[in-house]
Amino acid sequence: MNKILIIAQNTAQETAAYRLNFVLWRARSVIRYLLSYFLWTAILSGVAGAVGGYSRAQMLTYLTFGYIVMTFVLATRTQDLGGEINEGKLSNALLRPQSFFQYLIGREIGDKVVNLVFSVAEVGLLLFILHPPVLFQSNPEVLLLTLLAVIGSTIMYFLLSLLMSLIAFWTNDIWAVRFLFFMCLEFMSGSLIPIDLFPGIWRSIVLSTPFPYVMFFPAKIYLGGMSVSDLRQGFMVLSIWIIGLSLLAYVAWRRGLKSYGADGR
Amino acid sequence: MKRYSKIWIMLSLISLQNSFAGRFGAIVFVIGKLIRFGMFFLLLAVLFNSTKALAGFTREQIFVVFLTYTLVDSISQLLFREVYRFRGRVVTGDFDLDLIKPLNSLFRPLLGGIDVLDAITLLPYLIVFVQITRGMQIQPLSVALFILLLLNALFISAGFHIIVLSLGVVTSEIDHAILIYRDIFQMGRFPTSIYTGLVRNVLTFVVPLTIMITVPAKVLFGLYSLQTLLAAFATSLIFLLVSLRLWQYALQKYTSASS
Amino acid sequence: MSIISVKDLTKTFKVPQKQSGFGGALHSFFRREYNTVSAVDGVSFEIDKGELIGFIGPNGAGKTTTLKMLSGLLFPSSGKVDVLGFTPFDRKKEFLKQISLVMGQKNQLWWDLPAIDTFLLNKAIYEISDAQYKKTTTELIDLLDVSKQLETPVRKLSLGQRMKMELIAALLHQPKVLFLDEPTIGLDVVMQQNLRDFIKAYNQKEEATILLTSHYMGDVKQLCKRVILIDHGHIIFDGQLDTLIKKHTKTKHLTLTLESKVSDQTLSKYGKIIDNEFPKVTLSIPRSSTKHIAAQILEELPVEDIDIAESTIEEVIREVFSEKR
Repeated sequence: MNKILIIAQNTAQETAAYRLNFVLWRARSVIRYLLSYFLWTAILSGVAGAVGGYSRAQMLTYLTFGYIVMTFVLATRTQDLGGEINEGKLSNALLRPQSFFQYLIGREIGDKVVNLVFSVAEVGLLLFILHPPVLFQSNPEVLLLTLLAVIGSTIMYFLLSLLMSLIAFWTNDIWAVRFLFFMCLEFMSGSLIPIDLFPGIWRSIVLSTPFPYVMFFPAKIYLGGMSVSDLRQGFMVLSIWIIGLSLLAYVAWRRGLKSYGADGR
Repeated sequence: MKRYSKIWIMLSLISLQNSFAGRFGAIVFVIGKLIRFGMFFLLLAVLFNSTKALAGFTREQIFVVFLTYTLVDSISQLLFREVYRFRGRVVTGDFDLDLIKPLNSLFRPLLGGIDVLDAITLLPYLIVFVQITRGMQIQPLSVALFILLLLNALFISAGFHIIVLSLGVVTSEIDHAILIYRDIFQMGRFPTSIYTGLVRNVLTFVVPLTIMITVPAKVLFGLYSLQTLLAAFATSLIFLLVSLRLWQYALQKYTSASS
Repeated sequence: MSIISVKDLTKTFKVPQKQSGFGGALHSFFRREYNTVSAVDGVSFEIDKGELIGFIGPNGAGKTTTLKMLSGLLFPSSGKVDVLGFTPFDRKKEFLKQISLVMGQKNQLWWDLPAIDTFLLNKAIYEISDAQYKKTTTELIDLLDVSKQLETPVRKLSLGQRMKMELIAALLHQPKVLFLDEPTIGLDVVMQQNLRDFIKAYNQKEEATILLTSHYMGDVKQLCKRVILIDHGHIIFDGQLDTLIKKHTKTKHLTLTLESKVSDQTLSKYGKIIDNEFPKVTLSIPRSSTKHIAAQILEELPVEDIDIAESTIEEVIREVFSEKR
């Protein structure tokens, strides 16, 4: 456990070294949040009441809490792995005095902690400047479910991103899959529009993909009032994805290492 | 002028040849862009399921704003793709070899590598644009003004890219500058009237999305005033002049890669 | 009327100071401290048409910086520069059409395309007429013997062939002034010689003014009658290479071919031993007493043959640099 903490610390310090990079990355996240914020403020200010079940307060709460969740879930270093594999540096990584898995987890924690701290600070600042009418959830049951969802989403995305990097064992064009992934994420994570506003069939389709679990699912639970059937459905799909991705990742890892070793690096 | 056209065509052909080298990547890129385009439309459609109007704009009008954004964004990237490669040229010293040629120093870094892929994706954008506006009864004068304002927007965009290039000459941190500009530009997917306070001021005066996107779109609906038009053209003129001056200053500060 | 005229040319750079440690990093985040470095400090010289001049100096001496100011790439901090009647930094089209810059190990050629595509692009850029283009390319291609490689993508060419294509691309517009920055660096001995022959021929045929910076004495020896020595941004010598050698060496080299071995101890009586490998011995002796010592040696040692030569240029230059510090 100690080792993981040390790795996490190192990762955090690395971020401090690449300061400019990180600050600009945060700036870009804030800018994207602002788009959704103003969009929905504009839509909901003209309307008395709610749109699709979302009042202004609820929507802004959804967006703001969702922002923190999404930042946390998406913060990862697994994408480095792809580069390491392609550049033949994996052997170095495998020779390290801790298990590779510990290494991955350590880096993940480091990156997530730094991003979490910053996103909370950013939200604090935004609340101070813009005064959105956000709601604070007090129901302990709801909070527990939210936490569960966030944990599940974090694990799911970790596996997914890992898998996207493991593709590097078989091709050099690893950026392509990630690029397409983020194209889809933009629309299906719920960061622009909550998924439950999607019409019938589309909603079902999107909710069976991993994308909405990055933000929509946890944020919606937090708002409270999610039906039991929706909760059950959501957690079930999430679990299926986690199990499926774990299996895929395991197989990809084993197969990949074999073919990697065969190259005599 | 004729010489520059000829050289630009030659550079574009070279860029074309080079981009066909990485075919797989090229295809993925095009697909990604089209996905993004299509999805945003779906998103807008979903949005308008729930609400009838947005900041006083009807559904069709919002579509048009988004399409205007897409056009300006695509044509900018098409023309100015070389700016993304500039940092590499400065760091390796290849920029010196550009500067030694009897050409305007901005020519190659700004316009030297048009993106053929963006040209390909432009076609579906235009088709959709025509489809959407077909039922809107737009006056020919409006169309003419629209095109003029699009050109105007491109000049402003050029100004921004020149600023980025100037930064690249003096430091090397331009990759982020470009991405931040693109992110802010994305806020122009919706009419700037949805923004308030500091954000709206930034989007009107600092990165003038209002003039670049919202105003041309509104012109198509017949909403424009002489004042706004004059302001639009004046802005681009001033902006361009300032950016060109900045470029000259940057060249004076240029230290060149060490040998 | 000089073709290149430089007076009190200076170029200073601000180099940011990096401080160590976390506290230092934090400090420099808010207040950067700068060191002002004079890469070129009050340099003056005049060059006439058709001269072939060598700029010599250690790394960081200011040779390349001077060259870049002469070609208009860098903005002088102070001083006057005049090349072909133009101020280089103005980057006027008429000026740029008459100069050319070739940097060793750097390439203006498009990597994935055949060299000929770059030539055609340059033809358009420099506004060369079809007739002139044909004439010049035929001549150069012939001279450098690269007609078979014209259609090959540049990345498939050998380093030497690439250098030749680079030269053609740089000379297509028949520049009156040619700046060569370390042109032979990284090339093998044969290529280096080829290049030197070419530069010499070009200088004589076209009467082009050529400024060459180099590390290699071979370049300087073979090509340049006049050399300018730069160190720490100052000119420490500007004149004929012969004069440099004669004026600034206090020593000459004596090469002896011996009939029988002589010990280092004995040899050191006459002068400093540079090399003692039977049957050849090389000694360094003071210039003033050359005749005297040579006569002594011929009398006292079993000498079969004797040769008296100037010290090598490398030594001359090393001496000049260390003198002036």
